[in-house]
Amino acid sequence: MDASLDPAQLPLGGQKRSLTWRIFGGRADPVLIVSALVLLFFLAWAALPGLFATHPPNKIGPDLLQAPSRAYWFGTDEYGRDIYSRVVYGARIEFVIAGLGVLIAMAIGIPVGLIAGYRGGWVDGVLMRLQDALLAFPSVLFAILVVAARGASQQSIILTVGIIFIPRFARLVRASVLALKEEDFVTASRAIGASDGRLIWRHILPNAIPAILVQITLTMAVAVLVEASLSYLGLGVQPPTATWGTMLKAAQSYPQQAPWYVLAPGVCIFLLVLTLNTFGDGLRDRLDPRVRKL
Amino acid sequence: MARFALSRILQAIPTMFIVSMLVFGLIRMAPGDPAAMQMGREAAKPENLPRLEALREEMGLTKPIPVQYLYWIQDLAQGDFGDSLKNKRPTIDLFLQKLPATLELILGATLFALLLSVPLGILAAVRRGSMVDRVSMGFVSAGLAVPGFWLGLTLILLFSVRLKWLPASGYVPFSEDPIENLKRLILPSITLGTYLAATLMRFLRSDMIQVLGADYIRTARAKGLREKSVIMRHAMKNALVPVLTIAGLEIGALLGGAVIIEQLFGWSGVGWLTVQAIFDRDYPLVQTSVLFVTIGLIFVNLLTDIAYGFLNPRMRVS
Repeated sequence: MDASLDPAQLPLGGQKRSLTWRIFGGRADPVLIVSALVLLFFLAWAALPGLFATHPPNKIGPDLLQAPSRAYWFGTDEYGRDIYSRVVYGARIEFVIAGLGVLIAMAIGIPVGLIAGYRGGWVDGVLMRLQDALLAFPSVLFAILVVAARGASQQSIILTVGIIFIPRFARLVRASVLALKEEDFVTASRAIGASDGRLIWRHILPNAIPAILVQITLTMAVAVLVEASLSYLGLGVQPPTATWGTMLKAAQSYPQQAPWYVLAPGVCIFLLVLTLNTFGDGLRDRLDPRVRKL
Repeated sequence: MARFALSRILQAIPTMFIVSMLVFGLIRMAPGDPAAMQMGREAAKPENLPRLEALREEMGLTKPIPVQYLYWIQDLAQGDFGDSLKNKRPTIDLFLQKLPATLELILGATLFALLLSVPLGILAAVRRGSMVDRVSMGFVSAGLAVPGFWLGLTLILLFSVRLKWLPASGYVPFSEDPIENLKRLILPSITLGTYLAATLMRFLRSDMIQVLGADYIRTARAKGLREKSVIMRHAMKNALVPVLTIAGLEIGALLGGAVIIEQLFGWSGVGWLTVQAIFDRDYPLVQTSVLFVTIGLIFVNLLTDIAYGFLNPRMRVS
């Protein structure tokens, strides 16, 4: 096919600008930039915890439940471990769980949505009823089932997140396919003989990418909350590994002696979820002109 | 309307079956032999092997998994949900016994959420950009990001440990001591209801802004109605419909949250029961409570959907 005839290559009212430009270029959105910076900060913790931590995360010390000080920025826990360092190392697990979980959800959800939307008919019906069933489970209860089947571990949480968030991507992609299938540029491509695969790969999927990006950040936010909840119940990552959820579970036993213990992991979860949410909302405002901020 | 309702019901039936298959399948993957668990310690003795074999036969465990699933569905249809491994009582009795506490908690959380979000959401929309609006939107962002149990822990630290105003945990049935029951309900309801309040407030504000820009509102103003009656009588009615639907759909999130909040506040409802059951490896109990909660949710969502179609005729077409 002659590239110059390919409708995807034709300018479409500024839509052909690169994704990065559409997100950060032009008039900058301060909220988007601030949340991106906070995210980068957490990512730095996750990537290079050794650089930021002041103590080894699992090193037991003589000072139990110490208040925050110059040596222990956020105080120490019931084994004398440095809370600040544990919070820093915990960031990596949050990103690993949320990242891998969302990746699994996408790897299954996107093809399911493409097939359901593109094929329609009974295939669509069956696939969508499956999504309805997954959506019906409260995430914590589904996690309990997975823990029953496989035991409590980091892998179980990743699997839970990976499965329960499939419908988010499947439904989103299906909706984009249904909307785009009848667009003129898709019909044009089909008319000049593009195959199904090419139509999906070159025309339909690229147009769904902004919405998928938004969904990734918003889903990661929920995934962090799911990890925290499960670890808090004792159904997630097992001690002594430091995650923000397990730290909160331990902190719960010392409300009198060490009220600051609850603070650091809680604030981290709160900040990470908040920035993922605002980043996702900001992305949506920039990438999807249909949803203008009210 | 009847056609719309019927199509929704027909859609819900396969969903329920898939849910039951997932629950059954995942529980069957749990380690251990259900017959041995049923027998308890006796199963390990070699002389009991024939009895164990007989029990396995009787429980249908020698049949292929799909057949076992059908047997299970048949039992469910006859009201037999299996017995708890731990205390040998029917799991359904244990579940129903704990259900009122959870329903009370959800009711409390929903009430808190509505009382907070309806006035603030409307005020924020009417006075866009004002202080009320900014504070409300700040609450929305924070409420959506704060982990429920952390909020709960903080509330306990503040109101129970420091100020000693409210008890930190425990559940007292309403029938035994209504005042104590309500006192203990306050903190868990606020903890659980915050997320819902934030969600509702966000939707209510944007719906209200949209409605206030509609032609019929301009007409109402043009014919000289006072602003108060324009907002209360004309705009609010339409803005509230989607909000009520969202409240219905969010019950699933509330139930999920309740599992954690019940643990935190020692509120012995179905969430508490399920978590205990998983630690006891009481799989039949886990199975019954997860199945019941999820199927119950499908019902609630179905009713919400139909109610929404009833209130908003445009919905019936899509």
